[in-house]
Amino acid sequence: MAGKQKADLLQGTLDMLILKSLIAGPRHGYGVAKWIQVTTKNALQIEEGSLYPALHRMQKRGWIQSEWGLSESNRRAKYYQLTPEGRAQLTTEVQAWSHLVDAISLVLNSKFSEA
Amino acid sequence: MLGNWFRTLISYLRLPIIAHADREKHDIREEIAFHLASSAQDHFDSGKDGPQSQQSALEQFGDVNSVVQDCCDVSISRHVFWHRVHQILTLGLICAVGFLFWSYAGPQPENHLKPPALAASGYAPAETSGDIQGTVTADDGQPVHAAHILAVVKTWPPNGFRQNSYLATTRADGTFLIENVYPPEQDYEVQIAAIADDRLLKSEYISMRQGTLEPFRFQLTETPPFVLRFESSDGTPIAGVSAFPFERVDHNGNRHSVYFCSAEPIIQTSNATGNIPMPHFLPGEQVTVYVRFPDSDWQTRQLTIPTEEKAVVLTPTSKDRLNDG
Repeated sequence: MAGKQKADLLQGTLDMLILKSLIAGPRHGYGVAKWIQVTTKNALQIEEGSLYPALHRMQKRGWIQSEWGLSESNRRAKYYQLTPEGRAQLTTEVQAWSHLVDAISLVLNSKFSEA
Repeated sequence: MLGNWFRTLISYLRLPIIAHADREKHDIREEIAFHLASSAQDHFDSGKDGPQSQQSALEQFGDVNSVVQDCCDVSISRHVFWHRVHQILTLGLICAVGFLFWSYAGPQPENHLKPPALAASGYAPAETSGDIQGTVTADDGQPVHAAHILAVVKTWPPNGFRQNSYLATTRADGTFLIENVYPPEQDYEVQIAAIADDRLLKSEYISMRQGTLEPFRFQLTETPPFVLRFESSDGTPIAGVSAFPFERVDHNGNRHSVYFCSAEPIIQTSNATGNIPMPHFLPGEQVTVYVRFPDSDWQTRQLTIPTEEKAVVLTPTSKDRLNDG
């Protein structure tokens, strides 16, 4: 049950996290996963198997585009970068997420007597 | 949005969809190989040995083949729209080419195969360019509308004799026109009759000649009522008798007739009273009518139009039976 809850949370926010990871510039898939892991101080470790279908799906929607390049280890890697549509989508998703967090915070911070 | 469509279209046009799938799988595998190598390097840097690092990277990633297939499905679906557009355009092109081919090489419409009947009877279409035209008026010069014009044209094409009938009805101004019915450069004859309600039957016959016909002018005098009544020998009215006026001889001895082969529009049938109105004669004239009693053949009856009575009674006999003259 706990695993299911975690998966739902990630599924709803994975696109937003990927878009956010690319805001600073192009990254390859492993770089995206690593950035999320490091930025969240290991609190969020995305399922790597779901990362790549998500990247391809977002590319299909036009939010990101890809290009082959050389990595820091001098290996061939596919780099993803945001498109203007992706930036707009990130703004939308961040706003929606903020509304959700605010709403959940209101619930969690409410006193039983107020109900 | 449009940019994304354009990029997808360019990607689709670069490679066929099957080749695209193969290349996409190859790229995804290469992409994941880089991921696994980077992950294994991290594990190696954290103290694991080589085989352990690779094993940990694989376990952390999950089922590679499944991920490759998922990515490939997503990637190929980007091209499905353009593949459908491609199919529809191809199908449309095939249909257009097929239609054009059928239009030019397929069977021609019947009217293309059969220009004027006279031409089909032995003349080239350009040779039957002669028109029959004219005017029908009353005694006072007023046009007679909806008068029947019954024309028969006789020609002698290279392979024999032809006789064709043509029908027309006068317009509101009393004029009529039958186009492309005779060959002005060849021999021809024309029989033409004009007949209208409550007016005299009149006709003209143009004997063998060549050249263009002058317009016909028919002046149809009003006539008194006249009825043919068909009765059996015991005086019972006969319904279902067909009749039409064939010929009248005017007081000057001129004959005005309708050719049998052109009479279809003016054939009438008696009702339960046995009557057929036929107001196309003048009192005292010698006339001939075609009559066909039920279950019998056409026959002619000659009669004189009475000056007093408005009807003539005809009974079924075979005496005047016509042998299809």
